[in-house]
Amino acid sequence: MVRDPAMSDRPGENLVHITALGTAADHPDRDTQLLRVAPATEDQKNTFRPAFFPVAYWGVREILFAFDSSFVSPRIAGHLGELLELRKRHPGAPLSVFGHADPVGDDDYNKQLSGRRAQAIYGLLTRQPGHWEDLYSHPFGGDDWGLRAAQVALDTLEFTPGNFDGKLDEATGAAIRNFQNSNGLSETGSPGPKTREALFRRYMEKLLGNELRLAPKDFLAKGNDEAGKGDFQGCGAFNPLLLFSRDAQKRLDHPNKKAQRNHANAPNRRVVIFLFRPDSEVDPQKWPCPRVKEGIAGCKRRFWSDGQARRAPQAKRREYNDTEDTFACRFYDRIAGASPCENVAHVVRIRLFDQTRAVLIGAPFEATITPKHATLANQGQTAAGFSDHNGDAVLFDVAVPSTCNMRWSHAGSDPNRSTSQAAAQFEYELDVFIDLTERDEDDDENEGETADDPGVMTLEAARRRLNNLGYSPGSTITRSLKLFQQDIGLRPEEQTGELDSKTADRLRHHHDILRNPPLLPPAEPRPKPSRPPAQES
Amino acid sequence: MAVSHTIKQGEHLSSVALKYGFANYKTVWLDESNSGLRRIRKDPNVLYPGDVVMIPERTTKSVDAPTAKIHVFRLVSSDLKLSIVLLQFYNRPIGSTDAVLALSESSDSLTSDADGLITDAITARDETAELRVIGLEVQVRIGHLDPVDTPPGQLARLTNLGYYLGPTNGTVDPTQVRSAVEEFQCDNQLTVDGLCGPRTQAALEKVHGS
Repeated sequence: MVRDPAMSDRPGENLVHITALGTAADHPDRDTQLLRVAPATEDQKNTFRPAFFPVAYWGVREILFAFDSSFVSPRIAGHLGELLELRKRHPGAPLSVFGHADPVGDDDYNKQLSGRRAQAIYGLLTRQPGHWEDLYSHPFGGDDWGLRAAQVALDTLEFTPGNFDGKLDEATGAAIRNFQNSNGLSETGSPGPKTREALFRRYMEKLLGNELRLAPKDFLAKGNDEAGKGDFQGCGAFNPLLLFSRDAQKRLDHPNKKAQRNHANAPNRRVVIFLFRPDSEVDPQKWPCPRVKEGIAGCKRRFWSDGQARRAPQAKRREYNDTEDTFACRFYDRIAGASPCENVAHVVRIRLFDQTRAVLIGAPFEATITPKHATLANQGQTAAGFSDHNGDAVLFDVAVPSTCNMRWSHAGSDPNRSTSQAAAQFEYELDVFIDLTERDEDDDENEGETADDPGVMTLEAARRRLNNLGYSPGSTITRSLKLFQQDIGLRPEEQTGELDSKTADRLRHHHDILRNPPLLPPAEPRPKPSRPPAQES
Repeated sequence: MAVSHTIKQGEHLSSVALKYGFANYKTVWLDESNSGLRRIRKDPNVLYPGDVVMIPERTTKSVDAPTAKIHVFRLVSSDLKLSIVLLQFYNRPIGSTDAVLALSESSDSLTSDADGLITDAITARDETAELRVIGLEVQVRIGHLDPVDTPPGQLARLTNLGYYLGPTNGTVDPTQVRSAVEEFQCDNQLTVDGLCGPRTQAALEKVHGS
């Protein structure tokens, strides 16, 4: 067995950190090689090649890029601390950056786009504005940095361009001139190459801070290839985390579902950095992944023999961390294989009401989430906070399915109270089900859609919806249904306590889709969960 | 009277020969009674549990030698070695690098040559060892390499070569096996089908060195 002393001496648990911005984790300690060898009486030999795999992972979600762009949002600053921590935990572990796109668009386009995002991250981390200049001056499809990138950078550096509309107006011109002045450049008021270089550099420095310093030699190929082979690459859409069922895909391919499809595909758009064992070094010529500007032939050579089938929608919806079979590229699959981070993070919004049906905005809450399938990252997590301007309690990275014990009170009921008091008394409490439907129904992508394609609601799903709507969990389903039918104003002969299709439709309507509370006051307080994923942009 | 010995895991011809009092494994291996064995096993160091080795009779050699004189008798025994080539994925061989091979009775300091080869003299009794190189401590089982036309033999080579990433506790992960075979095939210009057929086996033996 191969034991790596550097890894086994690490005290404490493995780090696993998952947020709305991204993920960071140590990889679990690996079962290591045991060499079975033959002695030699002539010139026989054995060969030992230490297995190649990462020791840690840092990933960013799409939210950290401008839409359809490789320009890096200043929000990334909120996630770089995790990378710094991983570097401290794994000194000398070389990095390599992998960009991923969603399955919309053709393979070559996606490979380039995802590669550009990987390049942007690499350029940022190594503080090399040249890589950004390359991206800026070679727009690709929808990825055109333009003046807007300069405006965002200026704004982050507090030069107040006024807005981010990509127009060189008075305010922007003045901001540029101020920047140029502060940086010893001629005050042209327009961002030429020298200005851009200085602007990108200052922007990068602002985002990275002082401690996080990386050089090309900290990456896997040590910068030995000019185009970054081995250091950063794009995987296009070859390795999605999530694939819809064939039926859901067909629905989402409809032209007027574009926004929904983009939203549903968000988990696939990510940039991932692997940290490898400390003395790993790669000869770019031998590294399987093609350069960013090269085509997909090199990628396809490394596909699983059933690679095309893997990345195509199948009968059921698939997520990598469940089925482990959504990656077409076998080489990438072998690297990412043990990663706890290549997963779809669900964001759940639970809208809070009081018993008079008033939405509670800014309401203090505490939620304890118990996933059905506990993993390292999410065993019994407790989230606390205040509901947002919609009255929603927003919970990040909720494993689905889960139950959530939600406790909440009116806003401002105690201005001095902090949300993390263990002894805090909340006015309301309810166990809420997250994930109400059987997986087959693929309802997650039907947000906002009405009942033209609902699937069949099971009794269990109905029970959970009724529970979330506040119908007493201890009651029988028949009684709850009857009460619900009463509340929504069905005629007495329709109040059967049975889950007929009309009742199911109304139940789905009130629970899944309605943003406003039902018309009639209920007997008990009713929080109203909406459907994951519903991530803010 | 002919004696037969059934191979157990970890045994190789030299260790078996030694067990029956033969210093030179060739005496056993090349014996006529083992011609059948030699047809199916090309390498006396790579045998499979269940293989049957015939043990020839020990002949006593008589030599006349006058007394009151010193005579030198040289015992011809075979030198047994352990050779391991050290390679890195996607990089050069691990050449000119120090390594330590810790056997049960000795700990030998070695240096790999330019091609990454380390060679150490061992005895027919050595079975368990530990290899320490480039910051790794690797458990080694000498004589436990099965023939390449057996699934355990294929898996052992894929593991040694760093292709098999599945558990080492005895359970075999079929997806990981497929991944290992396909990756090996891809690296060696073979048809990538995940099946370890004759061509893949031949390549595996060649690349591994045994």
